[in-house]
Amino acid sequence: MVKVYVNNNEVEVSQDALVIDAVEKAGYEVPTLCYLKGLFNEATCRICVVKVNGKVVPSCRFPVFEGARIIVDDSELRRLRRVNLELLLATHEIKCWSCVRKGMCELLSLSKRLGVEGIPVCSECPLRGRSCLVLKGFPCLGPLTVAGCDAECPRRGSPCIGCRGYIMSEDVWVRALEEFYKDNVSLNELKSLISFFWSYLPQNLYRLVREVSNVEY
Amino acid sequence: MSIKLTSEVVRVAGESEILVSIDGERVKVEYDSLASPRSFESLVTGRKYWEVPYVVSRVCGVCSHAHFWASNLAIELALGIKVDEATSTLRDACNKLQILQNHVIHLGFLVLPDYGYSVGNDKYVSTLLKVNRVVNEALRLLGGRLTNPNVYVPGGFTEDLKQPVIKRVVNLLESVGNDLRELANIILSIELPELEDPSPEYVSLRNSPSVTVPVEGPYIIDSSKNTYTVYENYREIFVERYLDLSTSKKCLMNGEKVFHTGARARLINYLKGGSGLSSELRYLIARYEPLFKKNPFSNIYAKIIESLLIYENLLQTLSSLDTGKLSRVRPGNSFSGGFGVGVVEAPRGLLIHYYELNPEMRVIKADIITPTVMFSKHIEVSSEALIKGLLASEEGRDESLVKRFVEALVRAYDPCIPCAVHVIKMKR
Repeated sequence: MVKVYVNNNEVEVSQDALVIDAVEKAGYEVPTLCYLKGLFNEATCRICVVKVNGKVVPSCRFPVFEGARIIVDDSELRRLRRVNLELLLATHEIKCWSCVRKGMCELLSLSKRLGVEGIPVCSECPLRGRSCLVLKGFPCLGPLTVAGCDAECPRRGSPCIGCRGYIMSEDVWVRALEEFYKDNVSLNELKSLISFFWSYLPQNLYRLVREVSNVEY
Repeated sequence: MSIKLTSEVVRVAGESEILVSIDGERVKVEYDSLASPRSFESLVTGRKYWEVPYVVSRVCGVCSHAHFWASNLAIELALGIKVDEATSTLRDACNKLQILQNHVIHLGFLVLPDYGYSVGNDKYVSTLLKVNRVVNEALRLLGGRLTNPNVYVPGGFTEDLKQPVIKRVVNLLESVGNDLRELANIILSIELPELEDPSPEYVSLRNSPSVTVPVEGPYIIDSSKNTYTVYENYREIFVERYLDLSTSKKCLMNGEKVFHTGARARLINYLKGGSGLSSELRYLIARYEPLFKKNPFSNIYAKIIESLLIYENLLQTLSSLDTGKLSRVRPGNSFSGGFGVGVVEAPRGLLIHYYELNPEMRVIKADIITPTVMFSKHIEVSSEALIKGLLASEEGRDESLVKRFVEALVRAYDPCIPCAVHVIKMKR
């Protein structure tokens, strides 16, 4: 058995334990996406990072040692987790409007918990799939708007008007404009709706809407 | 004696200023808005018809339902859509809930401190907050959100409001009946200053506090002496004037008559044809009717009595409402352009929306006349009468007393400055 200190609390764990086991034994929780106890600890998501004696390490892979001082949460760790999650999201094809997970999604809940923007209102919308407003022909801005409102408007059958601001990811816009809106909603209508709150839209997205819609925006 | 007073009236919605100049026997009062222009009429120009209600409901947080409903009504009339009775009744119920909420909050937090009540008085504040919370919840259930509603669009409701939802609203409302009566007792016990209304002209939609389904154009508007049928001629009846110093306008009836609109006007006109009241309300209205016709301060009493009336009416209509037939009509593809006028009773009085649509169903012209624009001239004339009355007595010549009374009078009217500020003409 070895003695370690998790956030200054003394814990005794077996010699071959991992840092994440010590943290859990001390009653703390580390967010993780890829770790499954006893099955998978390849440390690919890098969300479970903690500080051991001042060094940042993935807790699901790092073994404990006598006298290790572990810090589970501080502002730097939160920032690192957020960056790692943003990198994961960058390669994730965000298609919440047609995703089979229907909101039961760890990526989504973790994004909310860590305050990562870039998840659309569709992720919270109960109308996803067959009763989707966009599929019905309403110019709903759900796919382009930052989530967090619990989809209050689309939930009641009223299209999203983008009051929470837009996702500033070209990827999300390209996908939504080309796959989603083009067949269902007149881009002219969408163009008018995007300016509803006169929200900030970067040049690249400006250009994108113009290119796709062939209309001066 | 010469006094010049400038007061930024606090405890009203928005920033406004009242200027009083007294020179011997001559008294002049000007009530101006200090808020910057908001240009909502320009914001909606060029927009698709269905976007308009969402934009204009943001004119005002406390009467967003009235703006939402009026704009929906105007656009429906322009497009030739006719909604069913249940839809109209539900929209009216949402508007009434907001009138109730506005009255309660205005009386409790803005008016009562003028009459010696402090907001630190736990008992009445907790009653107020309870009523407010319940009405908020009811509004959320019916209207989708507390402010800036989203459940209906031109053509009907976006979702089927199921019977259990209506039942929950009724249950919620039933839970605050006693609190409302308690509040009414407090309000009706305050002593109002004496004042003779210098311009007894009261304008409201016919049967307004009780009507559930408004006549869908032309609207019948009752004034003290006449009855007007208002549709495209609304501009001739409600004539707006631009002022040099103010960002809002002033409205006169037929271009000459100063008039009042709001709770007091609604109750006075309602008495002409109202029926189906409970004995308690009939007694209250009969008791205070002479006061309503005489004293502008009695708008405070009128508001709480109207709240009780609305409460009773809401319970009746919602309990017997059948929402099974809610339908949604979509505008047809062939539309050759047209205009529509929507008139509703907002918490503070008559609200008029006008939209002209082109064949693409985009707005080419918009116009909004709000209640505060209508009665702000009435504030000025009754303030002048109030000051003249004060100056007649020896103790009334005190500057601070004049200021206190004038501010209390403005608050009794409950002006809403953000509503009143719209497009103004620039002088070049």
